[in-house]
Amino acid sequence: MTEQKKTTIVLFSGDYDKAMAAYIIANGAAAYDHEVTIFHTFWGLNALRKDEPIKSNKSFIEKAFGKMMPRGADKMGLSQMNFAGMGPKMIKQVMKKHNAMTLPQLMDMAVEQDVKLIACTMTMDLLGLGQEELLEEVEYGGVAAYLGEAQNGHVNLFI
Amino acid sequence: MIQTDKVLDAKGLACPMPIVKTRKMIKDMEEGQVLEVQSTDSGTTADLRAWSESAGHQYVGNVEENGIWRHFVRKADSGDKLETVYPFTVDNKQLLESLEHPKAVLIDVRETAEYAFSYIPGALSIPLGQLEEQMQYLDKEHKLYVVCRTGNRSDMACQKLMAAGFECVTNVIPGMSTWDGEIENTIGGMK
Repeated sequence: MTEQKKTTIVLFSGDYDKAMAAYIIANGAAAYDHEVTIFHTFWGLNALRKDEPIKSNKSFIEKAFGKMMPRGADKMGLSQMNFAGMGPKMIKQVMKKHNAMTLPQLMDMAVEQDVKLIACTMTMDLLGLGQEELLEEVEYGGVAAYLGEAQNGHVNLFI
Repeated sequence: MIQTDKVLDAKGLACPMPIVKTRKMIKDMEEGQVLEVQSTDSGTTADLRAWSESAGHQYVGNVEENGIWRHFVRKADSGDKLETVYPFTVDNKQLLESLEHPKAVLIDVRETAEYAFSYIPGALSIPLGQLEEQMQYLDKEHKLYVVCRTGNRSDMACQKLMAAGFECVTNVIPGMSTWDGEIENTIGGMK
């Protein structure tokens, strides 16, 4: 058929709702037969974290960062009306009622649809995140890896 | 009753799942087959229509009953480019005049889902896949006109009819894709 189209998304935000939007678009684009890449940087890396604590050799500051940031997609807060964690609880209830998929489910679906998940290694260093702390499916790269995909992209988003 | 090759139950699913599941299911279907997608999410209509167009499939139409939408999508076939070999043809305009002949019979060989949403008044529905078993009910004395969406499936149907001994068979080109005359449907309140 026609040439393969590409969608690239930069997920900068570590908010549950914004990450949800990113992953819904990613899944939709995959259904459109696009080659989809989500490039996670800064707070967006938290979506890729495993939910259990991982032992590693870290400095004091890195350990503190690791403790303060959410461990995995399900623990992230909302960009608005977070109310110290009440907001996410409430919205998850509403989502259940409407049969909307949760962020972890959307991420599983994305992986199943061959969406490429890239973690930015430079910001991983800044936030003190090691590869052993992130999900197995993740690939690693820098800005060039992102641009390599994005320069031929038809849809390009920064969320 | 609209017959389809596959039914996808996407009831209760929210965006983007109906599209994701439709793509998965249609991937394993054969070209020309029709998929029925049942959904309760009102956004699915616009989504499926746009997706079908982009993926090259044919969005046939939808019916809504009690908050449940039934969408019909026909998987793209390579036959969208017109390649006909059957020599006896008329165009849409000539067909109208030809149908005035008392022995003229119009046969629509598209899938039942396509027929249900729009057909030329008086047209007989015999999907191409069922032609061989149903041609016994046709009269060899009649002048048969065969129509589909673009002229490809009807071209094949004409060849089959000729091989079976029907002598007066004519293909309508292009057919329903550009038909601007009267149409009827078997669906109440269709969109």
